[in-house]
Amino acid sequence: MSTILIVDDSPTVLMSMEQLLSRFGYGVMKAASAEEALRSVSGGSRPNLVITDFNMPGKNGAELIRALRAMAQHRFTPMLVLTTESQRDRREEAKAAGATGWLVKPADPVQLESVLKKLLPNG
Amino acid sequence: MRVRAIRTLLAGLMLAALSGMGALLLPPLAVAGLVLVAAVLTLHLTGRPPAPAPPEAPPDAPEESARILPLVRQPPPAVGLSAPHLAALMEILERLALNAVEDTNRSSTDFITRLMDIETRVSSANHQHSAALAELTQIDAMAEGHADDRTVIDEAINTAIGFNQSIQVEYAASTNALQEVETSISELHKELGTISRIAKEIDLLSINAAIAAARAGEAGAGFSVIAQAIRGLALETHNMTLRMEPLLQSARGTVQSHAARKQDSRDRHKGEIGQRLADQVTLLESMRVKLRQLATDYAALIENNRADVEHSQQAGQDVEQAIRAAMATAQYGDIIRQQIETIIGCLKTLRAVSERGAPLAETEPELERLLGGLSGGYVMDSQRRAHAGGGPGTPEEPQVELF
Repeated sequence: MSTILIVDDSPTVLMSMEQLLSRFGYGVMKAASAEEALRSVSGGSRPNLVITDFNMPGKNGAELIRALRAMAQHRFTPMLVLTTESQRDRREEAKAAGATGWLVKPADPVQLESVLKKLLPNG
Repeated sequence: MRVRAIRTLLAGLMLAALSGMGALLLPPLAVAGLVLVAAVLTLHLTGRPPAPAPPEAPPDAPEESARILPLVRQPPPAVGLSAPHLAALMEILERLALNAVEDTNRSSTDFITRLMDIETRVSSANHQHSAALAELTQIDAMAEGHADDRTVIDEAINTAIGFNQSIQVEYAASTNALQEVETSISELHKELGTISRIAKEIDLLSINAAIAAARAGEAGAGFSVIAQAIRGLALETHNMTLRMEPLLQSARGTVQSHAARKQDSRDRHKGEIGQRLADQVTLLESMRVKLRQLATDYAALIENNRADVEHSQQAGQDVEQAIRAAMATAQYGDIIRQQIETIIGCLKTLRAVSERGAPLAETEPELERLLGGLSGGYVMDSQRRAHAGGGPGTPEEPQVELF
């Protein structure tokens, strides 16, 4: 079973994403900030995919992705950014940082499951 | 100059608090608290000296959560701006805002927890609907499979009906055959009488011939031998008819006895066998009709059930969708929280400035930057649009994209 790390400073987003991803059959790790996510990953956690919010106190989503990409074990880990529909400039920034794609908040369950199946074909 | 800048900044914060938080469903108590603090602060900034008060805990300090900060009034700092209680007021304002963040988070998470619980139940019901539909499809397939069975039953009924009808025909045929045999025996008996009578006549003729041959003397000697032979044959024929008589009588007796038993059976059952066979045919025909009707009713029942389950499933999916939309709307709380956090950041800066008591030239640019950040900074308009509609604002656009 693949494990997905969700990073968002919003407890409600974390809750709803956790429920959604659990229902899809994935293991879920949560972090309320980029710093907490980096601590978790440095501590030995190895998620198969990362979904991060862009706007967070401290490091933003692009900075988190950049930091994760600098780690050898996460050079090829799929990373998705949660954005709002009008944040096209943020999407470009996330892409430049090494994001695999983006998702509009709040995530549509059908589209989310579809893209996760593409990125994690082994489930 | 510095006081005016702070006043302008605070007025901006108050305006944001009232127009933003109030409109974004902040708990009424928190809004009232902010309004109260704003009034006190504005009064203070107009130059009226605040009434000194010793530090004390409010009588209705929240106890339900350790994360809710008590609104304790701190003693005025030894140094600061011309208004000595400004830092203390700002600290209370910060705490009030932090509490509002906590309340908002709790409200949102509790609400979403309940929604998720409902969504889980609805989702479970939808899975059950899907399972029910799958079962109906399976039953349908079984019924389709049983169509072959129905054909087999039909053929079996046809065979049984044919067999019954042939039994009836055979029964009638055997009765007729017995009558025909009896008739034939009677005819034979008559013919046997005729043969016996002819034999007797031949006997008489042969006697007469023998007499006539004796009268003829030497010339009739040969004829006398022939007449004797003819008489012998007539006698033998007569004896044969006598031997056949009991045999025919016995055959007639057997046939008559069998016919009598049959007649007796027919009389006793009074057509019961034929009636039974006819009844069985009727029953089998009735079974065939009922089986066909049962299959039709069964198919209609399955179809009705399928329609009901599909309707129910659609309703469940609609509810699930509505709950997700409600969950998205509940995440509106994040917008409130982020704005309050912005206000807290500003208040922290203001408090630091007031506590530092730095020279005007040094403080003014800092306040200007703060003002600039507030007026042109992070605005949650796009998220407002996304959450207010219960989902992304432009559904025709893809909601996900891989680079």
